[in-house]
Amino acid sequence: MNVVFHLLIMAGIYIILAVSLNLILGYAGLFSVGHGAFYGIGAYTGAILATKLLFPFWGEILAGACVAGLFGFLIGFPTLRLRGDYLALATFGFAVIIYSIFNNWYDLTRGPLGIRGIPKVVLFSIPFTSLWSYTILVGFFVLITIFCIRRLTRSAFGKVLEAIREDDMAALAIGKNIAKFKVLAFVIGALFAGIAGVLYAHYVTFIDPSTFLIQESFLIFSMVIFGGMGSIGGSILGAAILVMLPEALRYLGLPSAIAANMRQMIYGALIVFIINWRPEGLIGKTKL
Amino acid sequence: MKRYLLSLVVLSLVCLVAATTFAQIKIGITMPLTGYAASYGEDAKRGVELAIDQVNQAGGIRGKKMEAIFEDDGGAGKTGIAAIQKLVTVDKVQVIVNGMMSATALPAAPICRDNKVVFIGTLTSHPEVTSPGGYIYRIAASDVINANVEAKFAYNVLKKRKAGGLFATTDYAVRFKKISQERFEKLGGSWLISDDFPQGATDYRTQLAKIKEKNPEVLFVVATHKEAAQMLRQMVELKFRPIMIGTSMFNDPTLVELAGDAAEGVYFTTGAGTAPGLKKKQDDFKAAFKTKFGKEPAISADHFYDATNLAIEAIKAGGETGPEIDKAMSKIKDYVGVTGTITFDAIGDRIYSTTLKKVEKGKFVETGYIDTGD
Amino acid sequence: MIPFLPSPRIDLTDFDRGVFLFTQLIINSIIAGAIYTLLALGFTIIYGTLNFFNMAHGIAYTLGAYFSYLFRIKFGFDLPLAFSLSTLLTALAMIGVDRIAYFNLRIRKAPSWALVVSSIGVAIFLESFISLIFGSDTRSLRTGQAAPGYTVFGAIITPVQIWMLIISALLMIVLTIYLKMTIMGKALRATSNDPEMSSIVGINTESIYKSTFALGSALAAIAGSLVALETDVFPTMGHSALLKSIVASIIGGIGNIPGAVLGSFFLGFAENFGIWKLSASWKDGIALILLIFFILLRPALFGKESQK
Repeated sequence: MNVVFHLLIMAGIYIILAVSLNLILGYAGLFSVGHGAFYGIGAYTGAILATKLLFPFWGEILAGACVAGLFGFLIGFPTLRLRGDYLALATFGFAVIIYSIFNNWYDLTRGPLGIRGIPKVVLFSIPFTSLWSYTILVGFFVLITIFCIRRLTRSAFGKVLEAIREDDMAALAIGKNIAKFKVLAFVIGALFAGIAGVLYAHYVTFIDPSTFLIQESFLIFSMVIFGGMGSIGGSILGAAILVMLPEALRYLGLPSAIAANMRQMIYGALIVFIINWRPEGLIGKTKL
Repeated sequence: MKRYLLSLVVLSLVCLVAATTFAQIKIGITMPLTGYAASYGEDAKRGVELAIDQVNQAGGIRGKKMEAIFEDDGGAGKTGIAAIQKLVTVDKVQVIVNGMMSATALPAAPICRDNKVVFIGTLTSHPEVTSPGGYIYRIAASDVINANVEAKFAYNVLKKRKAGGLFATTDYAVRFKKISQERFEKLGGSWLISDDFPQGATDYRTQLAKIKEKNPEVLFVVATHKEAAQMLRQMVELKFRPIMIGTSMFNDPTLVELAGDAAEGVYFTTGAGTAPGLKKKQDDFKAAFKTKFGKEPAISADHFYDATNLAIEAIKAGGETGPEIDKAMSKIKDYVGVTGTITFDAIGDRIYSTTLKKVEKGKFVETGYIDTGD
Repeated sequence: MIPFLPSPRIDLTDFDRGVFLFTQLIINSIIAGAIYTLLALGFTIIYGTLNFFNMAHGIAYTLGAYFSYLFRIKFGFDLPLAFSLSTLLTALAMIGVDRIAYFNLRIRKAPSWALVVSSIGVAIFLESFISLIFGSDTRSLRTGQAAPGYTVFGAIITPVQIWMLIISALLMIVLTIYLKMTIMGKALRATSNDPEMSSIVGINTESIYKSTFALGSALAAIAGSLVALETDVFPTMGHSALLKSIVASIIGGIGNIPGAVLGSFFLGFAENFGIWKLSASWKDGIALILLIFFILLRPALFGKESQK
């Protein structure tokens, strides 16, 4: 049963990540490949505050969201004029730089040693220390994320984002300040990723830079593509499946060395397959 | 939403099936089978397989066969936790051998303890893995010990006064650098230069050029044997040959294979033991390993072999449930493993004595120097 | 057998040792630049014609190294033959990859990010595949002992490094001749400039695409084989190569061939001199900072191949 809870928690965290990336990638059409960086920033912010300053959990959530959101601004603003694939490279570089900082800024992050001993969560005097209670906590944040993003995408804000995605020029023509919207998309997406990071840090109680390599960003990116860009339900499905799938393979009983490589191979093949033959993903709307 | 529920149901069914397996004695093993440390993981697996084979051929434990369940922990926290969760809750093993890397050991140890499963760490040397409370054991030496030993050896035995260092950017190396530098300087030596490299790097020329400029006599290195082999070759090319002292990660015949003559004169630390029967045990192990796998064992195999055998001993002596095994483990005294004599202290760390070996004419020879820590 | 050598107590003055370090860094930079040039040229011509950032470029590098290992060590062929076969096979393999992963998208005129995503999938798949077949152990292409290099102005250069320089230089010359003087080469440049017009004029653009992809990957494969001679072969070796390809190309202007050469040497020098005073683990960081810097400021500085 514990395994099921574990999977639910991880799926929940990745759902938050995928849905938040979808806002940037699927709705605003901004090719952001570095989402893992915001995730990591949230995780480290939470971890540092929890271990060094004994911050309360809700404070960490706020802080994680704010710091990650700040970095969303820091990457969103300078890259405004960049076209699609250049933006991808810039966000890619950004993500790798953030990883380097995690790994090298010893005084802040303890570098490769990582931060351990992140305490279990007690929120408003209610302990969330057991596995099932933490699942509920994560579920709570998943619902908040989905609710917020959904409201945003259905509002005028969301419509403008989609207009920007379809055609920058047209959106400009109707007088909208594109820059503001693009940056906002980044900030909001980053913010929720930061929350996911705090949740992760408290779950595994130990974080180190190796969790936030560029592969992590690729994974989240693939969840959005797989599920379908511009579809929240798609991101939920994409995240859930891509989290469950490798673990399910574990149970198929393949010899472990082969299984590990096969997992990666399936994952890579899946990406190629999806983008070639069903680019709108599972439930998406964007056609190629 | 429906699809999601369906996959959940399927998953639960699979779990149930897995849990109702035959009544054998199972132990769980996690090691990295993917990623940077994969080759260490594969070596570790072989060590375990040999131990299991040997005990089963001798009739098992009280007539029951032993079985090892292997899980890839990817050397990273996330995958490691999933692996541990599966072993503990689905397979319901009572003892887990783990801990090649701190990233997997640090979260895994508390999970085991909470579930009353015995955790035996192998190569991880992070000081925070062990703590009071039982259930957690570790057979590797802590960094503090090794770093001090190397510094003392360089100063007192090799009589060198100028040192430099080349370190990986891992937690182990960072701690090591600090301790060995402090110790060496405290003894009176001067530390001229340190440089580092990212894990898995293959080109050390610039670092070596910088170090050569300062010209230390002895070079402390924390790196895997493959990285070290590269360094040694490039040192020969650069005509720069200080004495290199490495850690037990060098303890792998591939070091000499890859570096060739360049490895001549290199020192490294390993566990010591002068217990009677140690040499024989090591030779037997090597022979059996070679027969079964066609290659020599390296450091992961050594440690995992010992860890598996310790688990077997504890099961034999204590019983098959976690708390019984834990009790038996804490009582283990002077067990002769291939990594030396093993006794655990109050918090599950191993009481260690260290020696250094040297590469001479392509073989590892003892230097005879033993340090029991201070 | 080299008996254990005590450290060379050649008492150079501090100045001499400083000069040595400086010269050594220059040599290291030039070698790095040469290798990066091979990588960046391949990457940039692929971008120039097929119009996407080929994230599987690092895998071509890795394949080149592994095939060379296979032919040289497992089959015992001699070095030139092993290298040639490896380059050929890698090029063919990548043509196959193109057919499976990119062709479809190309004929449907998919946006370039789709191709990038596909190439990421390819890279992940092939890397694990290589790991499955060859094991994740490091393999060595070298036979024989390490030997001291030649001393040049106080610094050291090894025979293999000299070969790297020669081969890179030769390939650069050959490529330039190919592009400027042969029909295929001109067709390549034409297609890269204006695919629609080229097609109208009768150039078989599809075969240009295939051959460019093969050519670019072949260059990466050669780089991989050369580097494998010096350092070891392992499945994730392409990561660093990809990063360097991207950065060097961007610095010189993506799609710009002389720019790729310039960018590569710039990167080589920046990295090696950058870590003179800094700790060496910042080496990749330097590449990244340059990447961000040049992506954001490129249009201003180089102007040429900016937003299409």
